[in-house]
Amino acid sequence: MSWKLLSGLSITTAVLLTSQLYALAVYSHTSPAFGTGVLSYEAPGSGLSPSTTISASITYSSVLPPNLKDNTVLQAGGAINSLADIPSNWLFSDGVRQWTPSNSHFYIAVVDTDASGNITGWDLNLYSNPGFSDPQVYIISSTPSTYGSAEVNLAYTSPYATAYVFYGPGVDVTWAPPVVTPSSPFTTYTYHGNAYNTCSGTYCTGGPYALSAEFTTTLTASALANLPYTDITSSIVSFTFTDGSGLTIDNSNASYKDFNISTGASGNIATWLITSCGSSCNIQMQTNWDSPFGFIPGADFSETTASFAGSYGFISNDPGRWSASPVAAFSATQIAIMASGLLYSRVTRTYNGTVTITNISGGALGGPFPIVLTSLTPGVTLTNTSGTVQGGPYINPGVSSLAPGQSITVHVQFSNPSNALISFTPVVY
Amino acid sequence: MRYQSLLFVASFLCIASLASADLITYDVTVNTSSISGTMGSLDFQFNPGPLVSEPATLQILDFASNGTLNPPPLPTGDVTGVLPGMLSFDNLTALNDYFEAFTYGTMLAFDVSISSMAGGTSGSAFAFSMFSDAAGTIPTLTTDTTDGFAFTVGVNFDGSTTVTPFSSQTTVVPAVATVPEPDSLTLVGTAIALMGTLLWFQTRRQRVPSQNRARRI
Repeated sequence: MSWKLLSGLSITTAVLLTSQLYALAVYSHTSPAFGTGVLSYEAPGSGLSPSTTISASITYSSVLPPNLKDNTVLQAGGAINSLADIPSNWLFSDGVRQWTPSNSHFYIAVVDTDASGNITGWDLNLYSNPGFSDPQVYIISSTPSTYGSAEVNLAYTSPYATAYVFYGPGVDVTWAPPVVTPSSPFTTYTYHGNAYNTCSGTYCTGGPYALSAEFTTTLTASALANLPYTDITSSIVSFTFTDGSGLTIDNSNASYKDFNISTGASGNIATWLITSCGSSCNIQMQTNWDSPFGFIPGADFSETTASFAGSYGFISNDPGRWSASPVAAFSATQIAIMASGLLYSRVTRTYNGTVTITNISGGALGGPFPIVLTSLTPGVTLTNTSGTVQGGPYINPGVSSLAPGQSITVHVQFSNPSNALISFTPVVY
Repeated sequence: MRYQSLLFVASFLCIASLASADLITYDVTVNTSSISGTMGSLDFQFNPGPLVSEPATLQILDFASNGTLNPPPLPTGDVTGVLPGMLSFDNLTALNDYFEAFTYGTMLAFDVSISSMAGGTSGSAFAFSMFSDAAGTIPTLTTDTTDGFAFTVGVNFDGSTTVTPFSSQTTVVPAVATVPEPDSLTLVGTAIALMGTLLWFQTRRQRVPSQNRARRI
């Protein structure tokens, strides 16, 4: 789901409609081959060679501010301690391995920019999960601001691969100008917790177990930047919690949900208290960090009996990682959209019909499939809306996936006092 | 040459097929004996969908009842005619509606005839409603108390229709038949004429060589 963005960057209509509202800035970089620099060390069997390059792509919710120096705006310098102000998404590769938000986290994410917001210097220090201080994978790409006139690429994969490369002056070590791509009216946050280190009952068998969570919100871009600790429950379109054992709580079976977050400049979650209960709150999953109302200094847990009286898994003082991705619209080759005729009700004085979406992609698709009614006829109101986002009102079918050929039909009801011809352009995310 | 000619004829037949529209008719009968004498109202509507609806037309035919129509009717949008005569609707405006006050007898009946084409991304929809007040706000003889429809007919993207009943007093009997429209008939006729011409030429061509052979002998 989180990488649906990347596969959908070329998607057209909806994207164009929202492009005037928000932009998504993707910065990319490919290092020179290691052989053009000085490879100080390489462990046997690493798969690294003189032709190895490090390719990197980092995503911010907007073009970086101009004239950053040692990232004084995004980061006061030194290591990141707040878990905020890091790219909202990333993909690093040395040609053998890949690092994404699902298996890595930043320790340092410092960049310099020019007057156009292009990256001119950087110190990007990436660790593998789990463990904030456990450098199983460690990549630095940096250039003048921190290492003088040379770029350093260091890839370290304990215990078998190490490369440490200095590039001398004259070697082209630049980041491409950001590709500004349209964003979407929905943002999905994904959380990967660290493995429980305290357990009872069934959580002590098998494993290791860890909490994972994903939720989609109607908040985007600037609305998510530097958000003070806020209850965003009303903006939640869908959510899923899992405990690693297959137990799942989502919007189809939850009796309680609680989403409180604060964010940094890039919209990354910095502090949080996020909870969901199943049909009864005997089954509960929660993650929190530095929140006013959570465990201090923070914990993830899941339990199948209330108040830790039965089976539970627990870890404290070791927060997991959040990543964020705008949700890309489905293309016309993935989702077909049809609508019925609209009938006027003399009782409710509304126009009523249905919209049906069908998965025509040939493979399963992940939801929640909110349908945004863009370009709705002026003066016409969708009266059974789930909410309003950039582009127009939307209806949330509340479905987590669609099998090939499967359809969902939602009811639509419009107020149309002037009896204007009702039209809209539906966009499914 | 013969193969090309057949292709030509086949393409004509395809065009004729594309130009055809489905004409679908339903016979509707309503037992209104339980509300006989009630001064209420009737409503017919035929509307497009919000995306791309193919043009479609609908007619109300053979209206019959031992109740009493109470004119004047209140038509809205693209609807012509006056009951008990024929009503004609199209789906080019948002609301194409015929509303008229009516004193119920023990029965009423009419035919709904829909001409539609496949295509588009929106269907169109027809609804018939009965109300127990002249203003048309209190539905009657229906389980659809929300919208008050006695039954609806959805015109689907493939040109087919779907009836959804809400009234146990109302029977809707489909009499589905696909017939070519006059334009299509012309095209089909042209194609048949071409085929006949081809057949005549081929028959003549087959005769000529045998005559030549006879001369050589």
